[in-house]
Amino acid sequence: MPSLVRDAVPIAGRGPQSRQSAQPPPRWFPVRGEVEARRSRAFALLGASLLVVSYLWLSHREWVTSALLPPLSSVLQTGWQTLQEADFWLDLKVSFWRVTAGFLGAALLAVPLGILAGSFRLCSALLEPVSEFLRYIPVPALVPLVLILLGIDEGAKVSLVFLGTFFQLLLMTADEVRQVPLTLVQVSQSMGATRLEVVTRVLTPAALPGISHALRICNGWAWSYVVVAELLAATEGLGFRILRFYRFIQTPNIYVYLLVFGLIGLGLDGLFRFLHARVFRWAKAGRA
Amino acid sequence: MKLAVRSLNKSYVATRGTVHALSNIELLVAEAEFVSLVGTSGCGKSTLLHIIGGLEAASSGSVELDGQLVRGPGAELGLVFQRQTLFPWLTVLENVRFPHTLRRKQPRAADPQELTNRAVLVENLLRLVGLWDFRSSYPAELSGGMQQRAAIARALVARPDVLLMDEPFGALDSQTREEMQELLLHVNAQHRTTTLFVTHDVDEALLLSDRVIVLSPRPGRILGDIAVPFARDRRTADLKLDPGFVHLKRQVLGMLRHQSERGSALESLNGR
Repeated sequence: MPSLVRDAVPIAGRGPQSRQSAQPPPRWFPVRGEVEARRSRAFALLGASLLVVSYLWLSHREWVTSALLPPLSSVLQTGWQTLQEADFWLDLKVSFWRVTAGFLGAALLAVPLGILAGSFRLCSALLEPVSEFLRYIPVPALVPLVLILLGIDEGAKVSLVFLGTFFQLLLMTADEVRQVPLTLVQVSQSMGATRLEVVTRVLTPAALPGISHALRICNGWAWSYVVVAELLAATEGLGFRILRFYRFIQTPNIYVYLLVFGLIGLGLDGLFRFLHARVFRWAKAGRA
Repeated sequence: MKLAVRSLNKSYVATRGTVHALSNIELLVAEAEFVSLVGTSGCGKSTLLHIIGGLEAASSGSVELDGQLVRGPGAELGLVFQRQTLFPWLTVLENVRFPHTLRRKQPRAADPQELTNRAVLVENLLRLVGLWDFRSSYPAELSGGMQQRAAIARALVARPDVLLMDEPFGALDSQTREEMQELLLHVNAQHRTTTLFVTHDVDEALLLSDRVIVLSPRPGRILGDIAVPFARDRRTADLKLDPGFVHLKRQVLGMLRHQSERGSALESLNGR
């Protein structure tokens, strides 16, 4: 018997090769695999600490002036003061309003139009080549024209945010609608769905998770565009204030405002993800 | 005749030139009949089903349903595909009652009797396919076989005149496949919907059908039209051992083999 076993030709997946698969999967770096939650939290913390440590290290070098990299303590102190200033809260409110108005306006128009473009070939022909052309015009290059047309009041800043996100959102939405398998359309037509019903009750819900993703991405861009607008023509707002700090070389304040931008981004991103996970439970189950 | 396909041809332009996919197809299907189309892959059987369902246009010829020309997809022609086509954002129950929620299907007045009938139909069908207990699950939470069962129930809720099934069990493992065949026989015995069923599995075609149509590859032509004489309340396990069944299976396989040998011989000649 033993000799039989030794002489046996190993079948693929059995024999000597099986020793490899008998090993437990790697705990730290499996390719696209899951790792324990505490490990991934630790690495997230490590990434953040690397940033802080490099800052600390650099800010303590003799060849780095404090005007360039002020000590962390002075940034934190300035941050604390900033939180108590009315100007800061005004800046935050004003910028937030501009982003939200421009972004919501863009979303309310671009998503329905994108759904039409993704559903009907002729709507796509009508809207998409033009949008492709317009989205390649950099938003900063539009500033002079917008200022001439709309002056320096709120309308100009909201419009810049709108212009920066509208065309992108339209194209991304249309793409998401085109990703929906054609069989879903055919099957719903075979159940008697009208064209309107195919668009509203099949294509739209099927594309919504992707559209929600596009909205999250575009909201991030919207914050860039509001700063562009405020750097050039504003009397308040986060972007305007950062330029003021530059004029008076108040570097710690600049860092504080940069921190604020990062935190707003993280916060909104988290909010979008949270809502996405709540609304699209079915899509999450689909990925598992 | 419930469904009539008359001198239908289909050719399309591919990178290597014009492909003649279907040639002079004549097909009549009677009310409540279950007809299978079998053939090797690439013989155009799915294309034929898509043309009948109004999803693709024929190059010439016509498809008639109750004497009316079929011009596009509609509620008269139900579809079940191989790929899963449940709406992933709806639960099983919401998927199956989807046809009832469409505007065209609404009764003129909200007749309470009609509404009860509909709810009963949905519940009966879900019980029939064994998914009543899973009615609140989302499609992603179901196995492939369960998803196909729900898709069949949904297609029947729409009460189509003809049910078109394009290899509906093609993506399932053989165990599940057999269960589904048994289930489809059972469903069909109760609902008696006229069905056109595409498969490359000769056993499956013979087990389920009243008639089996054998198609040749490139161009798809009808090679044979074989009546399957077994009673409708057949049991698949018993049937496979029946000498009559084995005889029919040989006959169909013979047609397919003869054709594919000729086809490959021709192809190698063309290659030179």
